Amino acid sequence: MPCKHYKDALIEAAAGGGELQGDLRAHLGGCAECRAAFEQERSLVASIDAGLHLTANPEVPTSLLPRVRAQLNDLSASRRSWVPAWAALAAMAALVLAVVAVRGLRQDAPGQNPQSGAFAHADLPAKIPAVAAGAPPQTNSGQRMNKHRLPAKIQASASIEHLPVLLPAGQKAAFDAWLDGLRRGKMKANDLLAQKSDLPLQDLQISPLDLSPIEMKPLANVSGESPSQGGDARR
Amino acid sequence: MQELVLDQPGRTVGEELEHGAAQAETRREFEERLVECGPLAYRVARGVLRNTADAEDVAQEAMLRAYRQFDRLRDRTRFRAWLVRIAFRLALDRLRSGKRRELRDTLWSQPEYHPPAANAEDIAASNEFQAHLEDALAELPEKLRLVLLLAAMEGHTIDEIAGTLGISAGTVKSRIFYARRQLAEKLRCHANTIKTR
Repeated sequence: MPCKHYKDALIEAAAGGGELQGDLRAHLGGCAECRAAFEQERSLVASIDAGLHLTANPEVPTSLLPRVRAQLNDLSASRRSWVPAWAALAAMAALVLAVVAVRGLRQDAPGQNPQSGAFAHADLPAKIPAVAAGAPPQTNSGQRMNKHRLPAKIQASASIEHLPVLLPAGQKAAFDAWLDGLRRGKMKANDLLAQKSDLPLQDLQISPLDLSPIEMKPLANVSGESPSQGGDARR
Repeated sequence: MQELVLDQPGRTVGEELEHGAAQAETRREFEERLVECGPLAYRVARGVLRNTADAEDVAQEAMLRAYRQFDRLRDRTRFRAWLVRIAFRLALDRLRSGKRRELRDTLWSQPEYHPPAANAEDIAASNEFQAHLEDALAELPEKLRLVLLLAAMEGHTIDEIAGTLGISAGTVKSRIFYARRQLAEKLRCHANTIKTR
């Protein structure tokens, strides 16, 4: 048994693993029992270190990194997993665009009173209140339709992207996925419109406008001259 | 009547392309670090959990978490320390959950590594000591345990451990010392005990 006075010093010296210091070193030189106890303690610490080395350096399973890579791929793919739903959304988008087109055609129809067209267009912002501040102002629906006829894919995509559209509530994420496909070049906006425009739009129900028939009344103080004749006469 | 909401897309095509390129670059950079640090995450988890299957699950989860938050890591040179902490924390959580404790004990009764020994008695004695060591290691405070595990891993210097954990080299040495001393206290009864006169 080691001397009680040196017990803690022996243990700490063994755990520390360094060189023995003055007093303890001198004691061990003259005390065989303390020297034996110190060797036992050092042997214990060495066994602990060896065991720790085994514990801390296991062979890494070869399947680990491939599994992680597969998970990373799944993670990336899950971000694109909305794409299969694009068909339904494309139909929805076509429906929305058709509504916009119908409105535009009504407003651009020849022979209409230009003031009534202006009033109709003025109603549009009130029905679509949440237009972003940075969006370019849409002054004419005909201009919007012209953007769809741009030939280049990028231009078409860009113009589509800047259009505010109405979507079914809760379908925004799926619509974003459709846009993602559009951006990646897997589909073209023009092709989509052409393809989907052939579908019967059964869900589209537009109530006929309740327009009172235009009543043509002759002006009281006009003598029957044609407008051109009248204009020439005035000039 | 179905409710409609207004969708105002935020990104332009150019921004989207830049975003995709940035994601690809992030993935490439992450995979480079994965090869270097993935085994470390596994070993940390294995040191805590003492079970290969659990450690692999935890290491995988740690790496996925790291990937999800990789963009938030401004100093990429800290990735190693960051991943070690994630793996260590997840391993502790798994250990505490105790859902697989029974299975782990069963598996651990059949150690994977058998160091060369002179005879069957030595093997039995070695395995028994190893089991006691693992038990004692599991009882160490978390700070001491992580430092001791990292110190026992091949190729880790005191300075590297200090850098990994963001503590001073002196603190690392101190923790290693206290950890060894505590282990020795717990394991002395399984070796020749020091008795004082």
